Amino acid sequence: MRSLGLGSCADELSRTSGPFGLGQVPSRLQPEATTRLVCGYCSTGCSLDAHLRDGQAVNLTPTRAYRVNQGSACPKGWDALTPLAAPDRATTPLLNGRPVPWDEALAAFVDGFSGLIDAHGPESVAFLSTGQITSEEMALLGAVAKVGMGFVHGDGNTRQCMATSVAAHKQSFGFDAPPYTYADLEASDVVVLVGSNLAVAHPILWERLQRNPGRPEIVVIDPRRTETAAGATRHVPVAPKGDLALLLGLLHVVIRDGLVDTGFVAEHCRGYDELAAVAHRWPPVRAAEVAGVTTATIEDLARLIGRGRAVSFWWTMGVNQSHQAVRTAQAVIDLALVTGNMGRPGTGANSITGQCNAMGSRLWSMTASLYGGRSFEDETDRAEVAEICGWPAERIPSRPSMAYDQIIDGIRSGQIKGLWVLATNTAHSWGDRGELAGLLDSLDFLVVQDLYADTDTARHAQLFLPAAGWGEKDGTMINSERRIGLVKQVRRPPGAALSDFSILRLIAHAWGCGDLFADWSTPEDVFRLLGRLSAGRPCDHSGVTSYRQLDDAGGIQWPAAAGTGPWEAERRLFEDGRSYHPDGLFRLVAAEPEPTPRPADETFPLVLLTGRGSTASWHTETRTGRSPVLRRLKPAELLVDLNIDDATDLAVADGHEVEVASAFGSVRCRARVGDVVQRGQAFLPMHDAATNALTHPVVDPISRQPSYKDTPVAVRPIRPGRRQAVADMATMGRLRRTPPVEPRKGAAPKVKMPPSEATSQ
Amino acid sequence: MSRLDPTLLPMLEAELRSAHELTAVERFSQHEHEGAGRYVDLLPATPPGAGQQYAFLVDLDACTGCKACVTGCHSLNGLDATSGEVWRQVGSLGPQAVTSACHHCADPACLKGCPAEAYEKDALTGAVIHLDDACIGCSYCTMTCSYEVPSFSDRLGIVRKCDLCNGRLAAGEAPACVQACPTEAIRIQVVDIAGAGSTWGLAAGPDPERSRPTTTYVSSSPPAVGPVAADLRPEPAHGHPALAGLLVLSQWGVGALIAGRPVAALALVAAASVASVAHLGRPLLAWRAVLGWRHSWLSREVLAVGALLPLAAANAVAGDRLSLAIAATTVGLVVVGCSAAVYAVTGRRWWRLPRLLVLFGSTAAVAALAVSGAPVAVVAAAALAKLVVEGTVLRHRGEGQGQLGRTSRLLLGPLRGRVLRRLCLLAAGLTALAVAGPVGVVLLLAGDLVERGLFFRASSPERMP
Repeated sequence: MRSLGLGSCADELSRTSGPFGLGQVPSRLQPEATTRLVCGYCSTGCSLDAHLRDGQAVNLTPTRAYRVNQGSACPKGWDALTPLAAPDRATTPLLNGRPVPWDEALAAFVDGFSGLIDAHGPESVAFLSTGQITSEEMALLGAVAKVGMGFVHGDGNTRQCMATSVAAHKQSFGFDAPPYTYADLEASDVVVLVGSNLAVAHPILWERLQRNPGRPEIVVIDPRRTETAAGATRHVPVAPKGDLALLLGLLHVVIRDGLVDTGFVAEHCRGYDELAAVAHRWPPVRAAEVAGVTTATIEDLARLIGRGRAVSFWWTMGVNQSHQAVRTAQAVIDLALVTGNMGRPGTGANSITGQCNAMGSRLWSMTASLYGGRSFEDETDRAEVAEICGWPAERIPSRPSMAYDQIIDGIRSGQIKGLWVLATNTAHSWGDRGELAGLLDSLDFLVVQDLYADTDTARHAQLFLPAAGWGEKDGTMINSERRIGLVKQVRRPPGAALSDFSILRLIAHAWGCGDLFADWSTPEDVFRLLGRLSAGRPCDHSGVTSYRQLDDAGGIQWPAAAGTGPWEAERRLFEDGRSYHPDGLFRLVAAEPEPTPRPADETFPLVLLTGRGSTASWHTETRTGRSPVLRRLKPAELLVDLNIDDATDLAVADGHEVEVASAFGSVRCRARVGDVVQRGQAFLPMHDAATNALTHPVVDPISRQPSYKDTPVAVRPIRPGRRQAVADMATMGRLRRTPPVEPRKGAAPKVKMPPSEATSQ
Repeated sequence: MSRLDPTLLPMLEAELRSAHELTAVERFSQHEHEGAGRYVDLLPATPPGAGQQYAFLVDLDACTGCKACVTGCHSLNGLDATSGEVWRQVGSLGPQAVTSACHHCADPACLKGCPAEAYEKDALTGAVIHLDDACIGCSYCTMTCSYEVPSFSDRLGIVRKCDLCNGRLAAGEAPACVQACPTEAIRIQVVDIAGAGSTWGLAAGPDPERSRPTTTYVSSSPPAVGPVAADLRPEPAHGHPALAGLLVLSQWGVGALIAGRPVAALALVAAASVASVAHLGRPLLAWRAVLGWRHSWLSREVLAVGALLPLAAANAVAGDRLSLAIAATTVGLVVVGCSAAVYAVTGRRWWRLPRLLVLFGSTAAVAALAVSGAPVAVVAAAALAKLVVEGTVLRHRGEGQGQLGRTSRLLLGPLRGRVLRRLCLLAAGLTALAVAGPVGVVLLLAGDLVERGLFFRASSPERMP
């Protein structure tokens, strides 16, 4: 309320020195205590200090004494409390939009799914899980659904981001094991980023890279001149989906020029001859043509990699989302292996994960694999899990689950009649979302469990269950470098919202299978159980037996087997050169590049790329869209990046309104014209719901991960009219032709930063 | 509906109860934070001496545009969460991100313009400090500052801005943005105040000679000048209806004085005075508006209006006695001149002093003609001449960059409807004047109010990237 002039406004901003060495903090948010917890957005796994008053978090600062982020956070982490306090948090279950008490909601849940299973069998229902909840919750979800309720099918949104890396790791390494630790970014002399916009997607890892004291060569292989490419020493603007050809061209030169680490290959790898045979067919001149780069680029880059002392390769969605994603990821791994860049500081073929607990999902979600990287089809694996968990072995499904795209196909064909969606926004994030909205409405029963009842997906739900969010519950998450970190309850969930863990326990009880989970009372109980389930496997963390131990250590990377600690703060895998295959050898896997199944054509002449648009936006913006300060940090409206040459052909100037259309839908947005994308390309950020009205899931045949990054589209100007457009084009042309002006009088000289103690005197 | 196990309810109650128990503090270890140690090398070794001050030093090469500085400042300074208040902005020049906050100018335009003495420049650190409790909420500093730094809070009715974390610097701690920057792109240095403005380092943005900002941007490859975001998608500014009312009503009041209509003049001047107070975010502190008379044209305008009101009243009571009328008219013209100066000192190209004197003066002239019952053709000729003054900016409509190009594109684009309304009111006013004089006068006045709203809405200052 405005005071009109009475009373003081100044108090509101007063700052006083905080306790525990925090430095000055707002007086009204002065903490009585602090406790740290890992962030719940991305897989970097930063630690945040929650400033507590009456046990409740009132502010956050990045933890200085945490290995991962060392006192830094991106905007999402800084403002992670705001979305929890959003006025539209769901506070009660909703049945067909009507608030109901929990017992009625649970009865409806049981009625809905048991009715479908009774009438149509257990394969008529499925769940869609997430990389956003804790490992303990994922484990309980998979167990309640598959072991308790008899579900066969369940997949996660991690299918959209990490399935490719999982498949590539399993085949090449023998286990889904990202080999690196973040310190490798600081120890490389050559860093190759493939399809990764690290500066935007993982800002704190980009920071770690900037701290590399050796001023490394930073190579960015990406069609787009991303923020990361702009900050790199080399940008290789590969054609969309030309990356496998490029990688084979690099392998060709490495082999041709004798840059192979023959000792490492002979001792530790299998499949070299087959790889060499494929690479032989991709001399630079051929690779360059498919990859859309020059032969000199390939020759130079191959030599840089071949001669580097410690070369690390890092990839994300540019590789993982492709029609040939697994083979592309493996070509990255091949390149690291044949040059001997594995298991040493500053090396590795390193897949950077997306979501905060995608790594937990890969081990514990019971979707694609059984606990701890086991297989549903393997009887021994099932027996092992049954024994450790105290379940009858026959309750564990012996069939693998349908993948995400197959579940969607199942809804279309009528096989899947009931769906349970947790902490993901499929109606926004799945391709061809126009069709998907109709498919969700065609379900007999849709249950959505989320923080907000009006996400794109929750709006279709018959039954909505209000969940507690990050910061409102305890549990663990695993970051990209295999570090198990702790999340703690530092806020009260609003109204009758409950943690997914509590909801799942109640569902098990209501279903009548609660006895199976008698030992699963608290997240920490489950964490210890997961430790037992991991024992003897590559992901063994049986040596970590309490949350307190994790908290004290500042997170612990797996493996951390019982009897092996204490562990160093940063550890990498494969230092002994042995893979997880029984013979200890790494597999070199190669495949011929295949053309994209949906090339641009006359009707849709541009290739639409998608990706993260801002450090302040997270995925479908269910949370970040509810933070007023984060909303300010991204463009107020949807912008499509166009190349200036295409824009000129289309008579579209910067700021003009355009329609972007694909075979599946169309959206209106404004053009941002420049040279961020190359000719023949367009880019839209994935955070806007409109974007996936255009994309359509073509999946990799091995990982079944959809490709979002090569949809043919057409762009058409809408406003202003032709005359204004011509005038604006002329202005734009003038601006383009204008050479950079001389800096204004007294502008800064071309110098690096002066030393810190220097002043201008 | 299925029968639920009777043990479900106790379990449900237990889960709901435990969801509301916060026990992290009891269960987990406390960690001493490392203090501000990490950031010490981002601060100067010694505090500013005589003729020196603290200033931001931004390494554009190190800035990756992550915007953690914006949220770090927001959280560590406890800014308003509901409105998403920010004291830092990150813009871009092509691919180069440009972070900026208050530049703690050597010659701060916010301070010079403030009528309420709500700003001070810290003698030791040089930080330009806004004194929240002295602020009357006139928003004038949001127009005088070239960098759009002070921002008005609807909730509090005052402006707030970056204070260089003055208290943190005093305690040897780094400002929040410096602490928050993951790549150490922002640091604090000591600069000579005499040299401020000459080390700016950005070829884009407002002219640093105006208020001499102390921030220094360094880069190994200074980013080229190009269109800034505001050029591509200009957005209308706030319409400040009360300010528009103050200007138009006071100028019409002067017109009525000239026309020898003392009662109408008094009513208009009184309404203008009411509008001037109604405009304030903290109207009970309106008395503070005269404190800055030594440096603020706004204070002088307030004083002039304050003098005009009793004179107009006396003149109305005395029935337009010549000496009073001359005195009131003279003071009225001073008001018009002060008003023009108030906006001219913002340095905006659309608000140059000669044009404002003509625009405001012609407002009074048209009013004088209209209320005196001059022939409609004469009023129309004067009003159309004024319309030309209003519309000359449109010759810049083809300019893709710059203030006047943005203003004209705003008038032809998002503000088209208001422009049309202004023209309709003018036409209707002139028509009505012929048949029913008073109605015509009211319509012309209404037209001028719309015009003055456009005066604010279409004004686009020089922008930071």
